[in-house]
Amino acid sequence: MISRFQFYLLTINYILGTTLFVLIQRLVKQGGQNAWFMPYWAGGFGVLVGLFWILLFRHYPGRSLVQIPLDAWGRPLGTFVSVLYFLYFCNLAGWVLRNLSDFMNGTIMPETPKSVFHVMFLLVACYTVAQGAEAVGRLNQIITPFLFFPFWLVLLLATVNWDWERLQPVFHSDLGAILQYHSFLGFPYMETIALTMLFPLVKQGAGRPFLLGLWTASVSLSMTLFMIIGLLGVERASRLTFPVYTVVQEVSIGEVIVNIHAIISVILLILIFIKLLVLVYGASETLRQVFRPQTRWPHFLALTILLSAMALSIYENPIQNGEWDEKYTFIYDSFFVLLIPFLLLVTTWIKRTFGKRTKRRMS
Amino acid sequence: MTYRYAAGVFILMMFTALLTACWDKTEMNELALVSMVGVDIDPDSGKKTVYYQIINPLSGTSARGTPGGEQAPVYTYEISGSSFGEIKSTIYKMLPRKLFIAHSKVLLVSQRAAGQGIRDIVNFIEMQPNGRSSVPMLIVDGSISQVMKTFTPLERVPSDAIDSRLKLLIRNSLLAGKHIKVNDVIERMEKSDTIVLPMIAATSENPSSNSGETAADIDANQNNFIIGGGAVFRDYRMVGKLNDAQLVWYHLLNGDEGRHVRRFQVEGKQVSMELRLVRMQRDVFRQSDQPSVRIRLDLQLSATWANEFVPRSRAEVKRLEGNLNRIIENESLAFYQMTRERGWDLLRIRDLLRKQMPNHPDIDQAAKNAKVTIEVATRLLRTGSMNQPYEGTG
Amino acid sequence: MLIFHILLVPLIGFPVLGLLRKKLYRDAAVFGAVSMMGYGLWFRIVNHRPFIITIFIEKMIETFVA
Repeated sequence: MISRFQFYLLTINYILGTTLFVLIQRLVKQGGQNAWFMPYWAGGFGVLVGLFWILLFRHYPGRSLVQIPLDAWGRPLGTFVSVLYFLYFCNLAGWVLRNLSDFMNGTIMPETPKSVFHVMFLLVACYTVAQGAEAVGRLNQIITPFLFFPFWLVLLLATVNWDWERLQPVFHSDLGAILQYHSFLGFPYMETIALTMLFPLVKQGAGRPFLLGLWTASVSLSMTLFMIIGLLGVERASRLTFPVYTVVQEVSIGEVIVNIHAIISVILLILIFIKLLVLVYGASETLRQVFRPQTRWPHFLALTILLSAMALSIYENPIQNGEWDEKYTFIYDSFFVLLIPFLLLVTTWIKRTFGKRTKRRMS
Repeated sequence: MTYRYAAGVFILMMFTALLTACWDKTEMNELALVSMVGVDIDPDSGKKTVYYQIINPLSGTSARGTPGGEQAPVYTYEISGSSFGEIKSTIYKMLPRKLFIAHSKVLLVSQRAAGQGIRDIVNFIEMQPNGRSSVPMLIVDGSISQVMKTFTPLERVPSDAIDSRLKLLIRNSLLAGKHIKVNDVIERMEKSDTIVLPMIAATSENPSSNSGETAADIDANQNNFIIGGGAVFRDYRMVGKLNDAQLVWYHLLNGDEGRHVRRFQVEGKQVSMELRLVRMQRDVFRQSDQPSVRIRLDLQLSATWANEFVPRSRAEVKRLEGNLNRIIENESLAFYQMTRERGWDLLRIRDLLRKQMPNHPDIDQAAKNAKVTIEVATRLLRTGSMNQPYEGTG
Repeated sequence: MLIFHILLVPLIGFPVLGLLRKKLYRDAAVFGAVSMMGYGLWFRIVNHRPFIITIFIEKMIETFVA
């Protein structure tokens, strides 16, 4: 059982995980000087979708996401849907790992083969998840101050280069461009369905910390975008692959504090690790709850083999990934996040109303 | 139980293999620390030549008395190729250590390369993961090869010499500004703005290539380079030069706060006054469909360096201030007229209009036709150790 | 190829045999299924012809939409 505060922090770190270095460039390119407004709109949508899930979960108290299809649709169809969710979580984990190794290869460690990063992260993640959800929650709670304070401290150190003029003119350009960018809804907000695997384990209800976490992550993203635009300007930030990294690279206090970008790399690594923890937990719990095996560690070994393979197979190169992200993320995510829960909800309502009618007929 | 042991040992072995950073480790003495980079492009053949000035770790006080004589503080390697990317591979034909450019302090670009366009150079720096765009960029007036192979007296590493000179110039004069870094160039060029970068030239025809000789020579102007003048850039290309006098007005009208001493001719007398900008306000008014820009400068004067003449009474101070107001207004307006004739938007009027009047249909035309008025208000606040200079008797 | 098989065959084979010996058939089936998926993907990676998942999903979406 994890506490509400731990779940709240877990939600924030899960959303910020890969977003902070994969999406910033694309958001600035789409939104221009007003990109800092985009997380509020997308966060609002994320909260609506979260409310929709919470409604579904209210009909099945104490059950996690993959147990609901089993309850609603019976064993065969439910198992099929749960296996689909398992593959979905594996896909997401593969993306996370591949983003990580692209980042490390592109910035600090260009020679290391990608599988080294994948396997190392997976080994530690599987060990952590094997200890249970409490370990995940507690670990996140302890680590969050070590992420939060250095990140903002380093960004504040860079404010010697701040220029308010980079943010002007405000709200002048076309707001429609912001609203048309639907892939921001998909990644990262719709991917938070992986956190619903932890819903039954949160003491005193998971709804409120989940929605609060969504909102806080949006505020955090918006502030980060605001800082990036003010420090780099739209022209550079929309072209650099890792704007946060470049901002920190250019920090130079006096002549002494220079080249401190290693701090940001470590912070991003840990954030990604937490996102990976949630996804590995989701995948392994799916296996455990659907098939109910009696041993534990062989399945972690199988997961490691599968996920390290998927990390290398998930996309060809960052350019193809960018294209996929813009066109298909929303459709792909909404299948798992909107369509299937909607069908489950409809089935549940139908069952409830028919159940009441048959009861009334019988009594 | 043995199963667990075996699995544990296997995992530990994997950790040992995977945690040693086998692929990316580099020892410190395998690195070539670059302190200055110079770039030249041949206009006829398009060949790119890059000069890397590498710090010599063996030089310094601890190495005195080593056999073989004095060690040079830096070594300059020159390498050519058809593109900058190719140079990354071919540099190792000359360089015995791994190139590490994360600590470079200055970027020099030859004038002929600047005339052709620096966009390739800037793109190359931004694309490299280790390249820092926060280094200042200077344009070389003359032979870049000579400047890159010049030792400097007093400050042994030439890039440190340039860096500290720029800092001193920014504080103590209006001959250099803060926005001379590569990332400033990118920002301004991408907005179709202009930027002025400092220029550097060698002081003598044949500088010595022996650092011992340079260190022991009393004439500091002999083996050195001098920073002076400005190169005007528009659309990544150098379109003209400014001399020192024009540079002063350029920096003043763009809001730089260095303390600059200049000799003015006031009422038939020469007086060297120190100016410092305290506040600059730029306002845009619409006058019968033509925008007009009013620039108001508030300057602080100091008579510390005025060894020729110091005002005696408040009336004299007011007259001096009034005269200086007029002189500065006229000269800066003349500077603006000169830039307008040459088509250089050095006062960044277009940028100002873009921010204040974003809905104007044709910003470029409006910027060209804008009427600019400059109002200067000076105030004498400081005097030196003497309140009147010596006059002699005759 | 050789190293790939040397690494993966014992990693997959020993747990499967161990689970079968303990008569945990369901566990062995789940482990076998997941690790064979991984083996298949790795096999193609080692042959430098990886199976790109996003392109596969793209094709599926296009056939559904069209």
